[in-house]
Amino acid sequence: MKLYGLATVTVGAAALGLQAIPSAPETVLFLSGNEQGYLSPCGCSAPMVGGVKRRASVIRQMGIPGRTLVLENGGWVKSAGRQDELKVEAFAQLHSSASGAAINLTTSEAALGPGSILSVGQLSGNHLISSTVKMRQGLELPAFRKSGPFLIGGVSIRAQAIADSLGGEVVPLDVAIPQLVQRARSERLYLIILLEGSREDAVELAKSFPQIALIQYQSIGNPPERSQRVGNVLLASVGDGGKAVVRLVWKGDRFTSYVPIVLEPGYGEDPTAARAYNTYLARVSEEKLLEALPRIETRKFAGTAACFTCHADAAKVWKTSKHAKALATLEHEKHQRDPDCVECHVVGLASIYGFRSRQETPQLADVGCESCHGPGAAHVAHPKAEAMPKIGPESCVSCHRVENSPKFDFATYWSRIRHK
Amino acid sequence: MLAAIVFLTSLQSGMGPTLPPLSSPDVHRAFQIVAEHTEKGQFDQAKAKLKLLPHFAVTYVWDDSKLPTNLRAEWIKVRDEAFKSVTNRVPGLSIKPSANAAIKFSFEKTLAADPASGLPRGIALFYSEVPTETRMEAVIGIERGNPTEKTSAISLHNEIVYALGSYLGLNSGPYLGSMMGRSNLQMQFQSNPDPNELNAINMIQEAVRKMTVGVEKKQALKPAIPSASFDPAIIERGPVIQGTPIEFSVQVTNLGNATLQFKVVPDCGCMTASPAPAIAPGSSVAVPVKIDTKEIVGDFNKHIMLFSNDSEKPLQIFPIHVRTIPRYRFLTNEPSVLIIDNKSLDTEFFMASPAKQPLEITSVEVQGNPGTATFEPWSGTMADPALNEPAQKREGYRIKVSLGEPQVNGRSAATVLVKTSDPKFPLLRYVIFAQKGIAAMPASIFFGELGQAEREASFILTRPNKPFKIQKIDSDSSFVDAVAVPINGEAEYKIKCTYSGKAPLGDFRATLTIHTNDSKQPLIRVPVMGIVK
Repeated sequence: MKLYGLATVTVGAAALGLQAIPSAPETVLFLSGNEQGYLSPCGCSAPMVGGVKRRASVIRQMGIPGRTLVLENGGWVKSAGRQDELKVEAFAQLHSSASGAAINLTTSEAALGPGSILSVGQLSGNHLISSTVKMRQGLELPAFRKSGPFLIGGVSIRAQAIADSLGGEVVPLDVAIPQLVQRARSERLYLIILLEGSREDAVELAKSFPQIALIQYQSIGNPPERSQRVGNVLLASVGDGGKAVVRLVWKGDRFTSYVPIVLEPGYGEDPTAARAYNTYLARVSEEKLLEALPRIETRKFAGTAACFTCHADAAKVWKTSKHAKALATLEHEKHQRDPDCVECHVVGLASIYGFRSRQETPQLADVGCESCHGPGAAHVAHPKAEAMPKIGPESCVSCHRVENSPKFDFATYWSRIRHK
Repeated sequence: MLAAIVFLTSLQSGMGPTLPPLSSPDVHRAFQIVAEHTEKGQFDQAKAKLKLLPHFAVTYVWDDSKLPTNLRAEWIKVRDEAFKSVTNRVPGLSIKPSANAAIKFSFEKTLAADPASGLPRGIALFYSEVPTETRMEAVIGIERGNPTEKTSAISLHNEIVYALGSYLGLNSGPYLGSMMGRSNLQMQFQSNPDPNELNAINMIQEAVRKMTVGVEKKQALKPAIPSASFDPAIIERGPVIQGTPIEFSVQVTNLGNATLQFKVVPDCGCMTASPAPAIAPGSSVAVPVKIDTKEIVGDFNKHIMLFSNDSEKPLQIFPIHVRTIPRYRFLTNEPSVLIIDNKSLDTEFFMASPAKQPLEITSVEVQGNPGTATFEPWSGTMADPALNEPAQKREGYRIKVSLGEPQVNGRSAATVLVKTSDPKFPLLRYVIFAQKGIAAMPASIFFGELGQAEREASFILTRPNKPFKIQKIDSDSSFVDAVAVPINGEAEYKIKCTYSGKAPLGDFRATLTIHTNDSKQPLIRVPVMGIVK
């Protein structure tokens, strides 16, 4: 479990242009968001990090009851299909059950259209905000939320794209932010900005509006190890893929602690979040999203067993490998109908000749020879004329990606399945 | 990960033994204390202080006086299993009770909070440098977490294993599941020594043996203090075009007086660091690091971990920030959802790539929906809202798509497969969402978890550009009612559904049937679901 170095930051009241604002003695903030569709690990690899169940567990255990705020900077999904609609509803439900304070509306959610925005708003307890897009009648969203000692605004440098998707009007940043600053000052609250934008955008914003206490921006990878400041404005990001959260402590009139927390397996799973997540999985299965996946024409597959007639040594290695249990692992974790997971646990999911289900295509279940070597029916029929192509580490990394297999190292992993 | 590390524990001339990477500052300190006595010719004190070094004949005291009586037998069982799991993996190691013990285990209800996480510590270790005292006291929390709960058998096992590892000279590690990876939270997986830790334990014992021989032979030994300096402390690279490998070197310098053993370990599979030799005092080596940027678009933050035998900082973490320019980008002037009013729809999008490194398309095809696609070279001026780039001249391809009528009403996806000649990016996917007729957005109503209170949920019924009328809405459940409110002329309706709060416990399902004036879609059925708790 990685708790990167503690960096203490201070943002004084005077520096914010505020005087003696009364506030609760200590508030814990968890920064989250920018999951890019990643709700939970598929469960195929022990060191997989991230996920909403661990996030909720961390929030429950490292928060202070009644004084914990979770800020989500949008970016929940990266496409606009039916599974994405289900995902944002799951995220919204999880938000409302885990000390959620505000969700920034970003282009990611907006691409799903006004219906999903309504649904997210309601499921999250009306925590979805946008300060830079004024929504049309019937779809109104709050421009900010007040929670604890904070006024929280949500802005986007891509506000026009949000407005285009949803039919709203853009409120320019140089109008929206001064309004939020003024509002925070008049209500004696500290201003937090959730920003759909990069670190450079955050720096620029911080220089222009030094009255802001915190700007949460978007980035990829891990959260920065140490806190960053521009003047007295604290800048923070959680990276992407739901792999980490950032825990901040606000005491009196300043942030006193900044700790990025990578959501490693040891954090356990929160039972409430697990329940919501299981509901999501049930909906994915019920709507038959796996069956609806687009498939492409490819060469035909032979099935793993067909290879073993000639390649007995490889068969021996495979049978004792984790590849041979890949689908069973998903079944154990109830992910066997989740399109996000199945592709890397069977043969040829993207092909019209590929895996359908364990019942229909048992020979293509699990990670088989053709998962790495490609379709082999022609080779089985004409072994010499249709030689299988040479492959290398690139065959592994289509599945052993950073988010799925963070400790992947070709030499080590190849040694486990070495075969001729 | 540190398997490749080879290190020396030899006694250099007049120098105390050098410890391996993964050694803790406490064990370094113990070796320094002994060596300092030998340097001063205080061999009796040095001999006495050898007790501060870890020995394979481990003795312990188990003080469970503060443990509730009902836990004592269970925790002794966990202890014995934890001891066994370590002794089974470390040949030559024995752990026996003794009144004059090297390790004392004791318990407190709750330990003081760790300021970083605000959580009570799961274990606290106290070292004594007085040879007649217990070398290390391990105080374990009977409760842990927030809110606190009884320390589980797995957590207890792991704390005991961690305490043994600490006594044997290992530093805390970042990997849960290994001997020295731990958490203040309730732990879910049992910890056991990994091969690198076992290697380090044995090497530390080798150093203990050599130090003991040196003391017995009354050799004056200078304390061995390797010290690692890493340059640069912050690594910033880019921008480069996505897919272009980034190669650079980090310089590791040994500012100490003994051989520095180390390994550079990135925390991302996209990075590799070459193995490097040990560094003599005062010398430096450049460690080549390579980053594969194929999966990186935009700003990217990761870390490099430096595991070394630095006597004070055996694990140092350095941030890496990389920025890339996309290898390709899909741009369009079309809305995110296209409306198919007639039998087909023609649309287009653009694939732009950097002018210096154009990406060549070899074929395009449409999947998931009837349709065809073609491509042609293109240059033009477009903004990229995804990366907040203003309109500028771009080059690439125009991809024209002719979508056929979807088979079902509502929203569906068509995937345009773009094949390229770049082996790093051989197949790209661009998804077009198309809507035929009147569509419910989202396609079902999800209330989430419901209680006994009334709850509202809404969705949109829409057919842009072509108004329609809702005549009535039926519900097949007495627990759900719905009304329609036009919000965009009559091309869009907000359907407000109200759950009465009276459904029985369990999964709640219903269907709304919406009657319209459209003869092709007179009835639209929308499923409703929730879970009543």
